[in-house]
Amino acid sequence: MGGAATDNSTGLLVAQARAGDRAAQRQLFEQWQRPIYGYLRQMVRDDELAADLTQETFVKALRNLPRLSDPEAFRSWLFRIAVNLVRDRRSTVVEPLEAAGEPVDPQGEPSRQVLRDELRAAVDQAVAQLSAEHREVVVLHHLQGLDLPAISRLLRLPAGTVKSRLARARDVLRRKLAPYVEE
Amino acid sequence: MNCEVCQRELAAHDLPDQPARRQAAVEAHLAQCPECRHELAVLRRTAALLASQPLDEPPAGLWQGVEARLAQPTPWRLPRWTYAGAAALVAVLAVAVWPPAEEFRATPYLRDHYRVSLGGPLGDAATGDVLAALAEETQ
Repeated sequence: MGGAATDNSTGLLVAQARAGDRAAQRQLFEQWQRPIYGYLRQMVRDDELAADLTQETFVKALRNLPRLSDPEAFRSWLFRIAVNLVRDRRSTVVEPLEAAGEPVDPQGEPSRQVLRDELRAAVDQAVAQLSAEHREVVVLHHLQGLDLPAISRLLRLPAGTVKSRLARARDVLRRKLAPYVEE
Repeated sequence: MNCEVCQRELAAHDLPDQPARRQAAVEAHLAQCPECRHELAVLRRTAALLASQPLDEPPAGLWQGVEARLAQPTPWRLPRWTYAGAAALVAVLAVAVWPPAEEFRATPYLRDHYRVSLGGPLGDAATGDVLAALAEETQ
């Protein structure tokens, strides 16, 4: 997990995209749309809104590319834009946190695919029920694979705050997902 | 360390840069407590379960929307500092132009108040006039 990797090719693509090369811009989009959409989808819990915010993230990023001093920092920069879009939206709209569907019944006789789907739904639902602050760090760390210092820089929070939020969130998730993680 | 304290620490146990003393205390407790070891294993399975979840797939055709928006002219916006500058200017003007409050004159109030209370046992017209005169002097 963790989405696309940042490497030299990203730096090169950023330089080309900055010069207005539409093909390079598209390549950057293709490279990063999945992690960005994945993050936004987990945060706003709405497919259509997540798609719209993904587009907005890339439009802002590509338009302001000349302001990015270090092309290698493209990933954090992109996530920063996405995080800010979610936060702006959070300040004006109350999130439908409980709208995560029916509780999943862990009992039953499922096929492997059904089991995978059920597990995914259960994780999705458990993450959805976290507070926005806890969800943010869980999604960035566990689902996007960002390390703690990167999250701390991205969210502009002290490392200790990120750690304590993550620990608390893990504890909540461990309880919510008990039927799937207890032996 | 007892089980309650240990289990409170476990969710952060695998996170980097934990205080060494706390980690050592947790390790020491874990070495002799199967229940807390089980709890740690469950927490680790929870983290692994989260990490194993595939990211949601974005719908097809998002790039077309991005490209269309990029083709539109950039919305015109004032730089952020202009808003702060405008607010500061309004504040300065407000202080400079606002009419000063009318000067408070104590004498008429003192005199009236005293005359109203004349009916009381300590009422004394001469004292009232002296007070009013003193107040006038100090203004």
